[in-house]
Amino acid sequence: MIDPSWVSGLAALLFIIGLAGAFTRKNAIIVLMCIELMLNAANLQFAAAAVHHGDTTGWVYTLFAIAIAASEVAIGLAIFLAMYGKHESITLDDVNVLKN
Amino acid sequence: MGSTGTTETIHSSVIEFAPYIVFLPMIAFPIILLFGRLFNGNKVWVSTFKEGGIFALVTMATSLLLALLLIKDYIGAYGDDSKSALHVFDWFSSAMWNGGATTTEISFGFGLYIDHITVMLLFIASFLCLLINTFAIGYMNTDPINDNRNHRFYAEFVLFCAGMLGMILADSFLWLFIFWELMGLCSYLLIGFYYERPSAAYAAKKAFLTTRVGDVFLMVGLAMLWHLFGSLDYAVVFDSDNIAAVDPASLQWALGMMFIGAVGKSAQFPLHVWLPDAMEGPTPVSALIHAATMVNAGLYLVARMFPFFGAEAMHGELVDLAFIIASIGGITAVMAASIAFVQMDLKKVLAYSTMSQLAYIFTGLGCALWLANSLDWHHDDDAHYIVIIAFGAALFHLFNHAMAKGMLFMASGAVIHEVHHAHHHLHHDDHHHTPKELYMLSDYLASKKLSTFEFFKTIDLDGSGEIDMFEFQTALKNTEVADLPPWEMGDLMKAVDLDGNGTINVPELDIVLAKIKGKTYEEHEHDHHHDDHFDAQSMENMGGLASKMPITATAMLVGSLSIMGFPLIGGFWSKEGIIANAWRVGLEDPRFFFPAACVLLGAAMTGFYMSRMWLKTFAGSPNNEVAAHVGPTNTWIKIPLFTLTFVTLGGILFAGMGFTHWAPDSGYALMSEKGLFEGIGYELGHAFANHDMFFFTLTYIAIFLGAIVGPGLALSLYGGALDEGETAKPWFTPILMLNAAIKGRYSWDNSAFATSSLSRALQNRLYFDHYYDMAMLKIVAAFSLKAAHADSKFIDGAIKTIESTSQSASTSLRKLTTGSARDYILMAAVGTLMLFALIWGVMA
Amino acid sequence: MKFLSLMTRMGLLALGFILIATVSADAVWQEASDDAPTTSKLADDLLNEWGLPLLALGILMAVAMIGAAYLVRDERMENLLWEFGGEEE
Repeated sequence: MIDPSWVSGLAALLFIIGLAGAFTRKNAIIVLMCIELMLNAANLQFAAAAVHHGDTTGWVYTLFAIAIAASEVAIGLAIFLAMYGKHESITLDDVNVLKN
Repeated sequence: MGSTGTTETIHSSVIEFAPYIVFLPMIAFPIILLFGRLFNGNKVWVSTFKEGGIFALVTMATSLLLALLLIKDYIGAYGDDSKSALHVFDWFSSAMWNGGATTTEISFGFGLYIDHITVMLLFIASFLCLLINTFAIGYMNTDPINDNRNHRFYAEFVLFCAGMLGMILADSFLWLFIFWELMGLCSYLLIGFYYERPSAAYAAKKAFLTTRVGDVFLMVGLAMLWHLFGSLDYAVVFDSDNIAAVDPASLQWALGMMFIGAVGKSAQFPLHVWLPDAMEGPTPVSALIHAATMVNAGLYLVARMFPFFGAEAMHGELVDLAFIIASIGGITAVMAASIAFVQMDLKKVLAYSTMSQLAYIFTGLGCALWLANSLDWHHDDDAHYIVIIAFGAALFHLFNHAMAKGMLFMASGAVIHEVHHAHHHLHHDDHHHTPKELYMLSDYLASKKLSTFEFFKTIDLDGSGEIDMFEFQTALKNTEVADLPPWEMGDLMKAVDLDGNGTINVPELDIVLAKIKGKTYEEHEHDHHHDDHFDAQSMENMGGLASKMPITATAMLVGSLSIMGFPLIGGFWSKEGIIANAWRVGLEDPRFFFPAACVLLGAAMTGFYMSRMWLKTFAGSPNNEVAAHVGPTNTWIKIPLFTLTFVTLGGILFAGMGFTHWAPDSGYALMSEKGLFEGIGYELGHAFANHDMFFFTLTYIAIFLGAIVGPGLALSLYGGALDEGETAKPWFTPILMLNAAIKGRYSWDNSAFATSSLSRALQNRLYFDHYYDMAMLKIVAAFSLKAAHADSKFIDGAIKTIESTSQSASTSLRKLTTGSARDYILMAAVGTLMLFALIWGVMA
Repeated sequence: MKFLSLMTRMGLLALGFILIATVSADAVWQEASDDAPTTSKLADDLLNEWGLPLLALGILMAVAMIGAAYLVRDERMENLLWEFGGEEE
């Protein structure tokens, strides 16, 4: 079996990548994808910990998180649709109604 | 402190009621004000209650009665019985921290302190208040300009009396000061009684502010006194042991400050500028406040300082202050008398006379205080006598002056009143006063373009061809001109009903409306008052009134003689005393030659200007037709004049009773050493046949100057015999004959004096007002401009800076909200991470 | 802005290093347990011990789907007409 520590390391790396992407990208869908990446990283970490500790609670969380992430994406995409309807673009830079 | 009633063997049961002397007028003040507001315009209130005048009269009479009962008990008392204190109530008590572990209790209470000086002033104040109240009823209520606002006058009048009586009876300097301020307030209110007149408002403000300047010094003095003694109660402050423990130099300064307060209140140089302007108030105000009572407050204060000067521990230390007091008195006496030379306004002459006479009293007090401080009067009987007599002369002059000046002002008020009436009769009765409603009716007709005839037809309800009161009233109501009740239609009907048959017909209405056509009500009123430039107070509008107003003329004559110091009449006894004492002190201390000389010169000047005043008003022929039209005055005014004439004439009796000895000395009872006639004989001898050669000559010089030179000059310049067919009372005849004779033979042209620059300077009141105004403008106004500038720049600036700083801070902070979602994610992430790090750090 | 992005990048890099260092530290992975869980055990726990949360999750997802469906509804007139056979909202 794979050593859980490596999985954990991978999860950390993925998290950082996702975070960097969330800060930097201007396309809203890409940002959503980065958030998913971060969630995925957290899931990985949980799974590795569950294997390490021998407790299924970690896996239960993983399943729940996947389900919630899916619904969250659905809502997110709906919001993007509404945003597109209003501002004619999904570039986050163009949406600055709350500026100052 | 508010001591628990140091009531030394008082055998007076009245003293328990004595506080009511003050409380009754004080309570009457809001009552009169309230009733006046409630019943304003009510006929009964106006005619029967004289808009509160009767209330005031009853209150003052009760106060007088209580005062007389009190006086009766004290007048014969002497020794310890003659001084009493009564504790009335505790005002407040507190504790003062001494800086260590102890506190001292202090409490301020109100109590009464009664000794001979109190008794004398109590009599003066309550008696004059009552008489002037009577006069006011006759003066104020018969002048239509005062209608429906007399209640304000009487309320303020009564409050003033409360203040004066309270001040006299108070047992500590604190309460003296409180009532002093109360009188200042009432003075302001009463001088500015005709507040719609800018000159009156200005005069009131000036009076208040000038006395305020003095009051500041008085407060400082009282504070110093409190610091020295720890209390302001007379019982503590006059105690000789306490005085011995005090530093003389500081005491002199404290008393000096208090004296400045007295200078302000009694209108002495340099704070005298308010008194002539204060004549803007109605005459009863001038009589009461500025002749008889308030200006005596300053004198009372100085008189109360006597125990300090007389204390053994202070021997010789306070002479400088005494000299200052006497000098200010001397300067003012001459200055005021000289300005009085050129005054044409009757009341202003009397105002300056008041100033001058008060200065006399100050000189007298100054000399007495010097004597008390320099002579060893506690041990030497002769010295004791001299000091007491000196002090008593000043107090006696206060008494005589108050009576005489009050009477003079009342008499002048009577004259002014009658001249005003005469003017009205002559000039205003021709103009039938057209009521406002007719103007409105005329406007109505013009706006509806109705002719008088058409209008008449519409309002003639029964078609009789004539309009009676009811139809006219209805017409006015229907045209919305006025909704008058029947009893107010009378004047209106009279204005229109020209033939007086009780009904209006077309021609009458036509004539009346045509007369007012084209004019507005305001224009008409303006024409009406055009000739109100007539100055009822100027002596140019008088002359020859001796035959027309006999009682007034007599009163004024007696008063003038008393003020002049004419032998045997009232003021003579006291004035001679003051002059003699001034010179006595001058012999001992050469500095005092200055006030002594001033006082002697002043006697001559007083003689001149008082005679000038009387002669210009009452002797000679009338100056214009108004003066010729004057008639005698009404009863309310006559009563006080009558009474005071006799009081002034009775000055010799007071002198004979040993008044000068009794007033200051609590160890002496009236008529205890000599009987009345013996006393009179003694006084006559003392005056006219003095043993000491110096004083003998002095007396006669003073009489010569005061009674012969001064009046003589006046007799030769003014007055003259009455017109043909005018008869005067028998006692005037010798005077008028003398006047005619002297004027005929010795008349001389004084136009050189009259047009000189000195005369002009005097007419401008020696430019004091001018210099004070300039000083105020340059110093005070400049300073206040700078202060205002600093306020708007620095203080407002500080606030504005805070405001703008927070504004700019907020603006720059808002830049964080970029509106970009990316930045928000960043911020959220960073925040969370920091929280996590914090918790991780804490946990680890 | 440039400064901010620079700081962000540095911060991210630093964070990355810290995370990987923490996660791969030996002390974390000391007590390993012997029996790795099996999928049947997972299913068992999921339906018995975690039944209620599972149900809640299901309901939550259903609501989310409904919400999403509403948010992306098509408001064009012809589609509404076809769907409801008349003008309705």
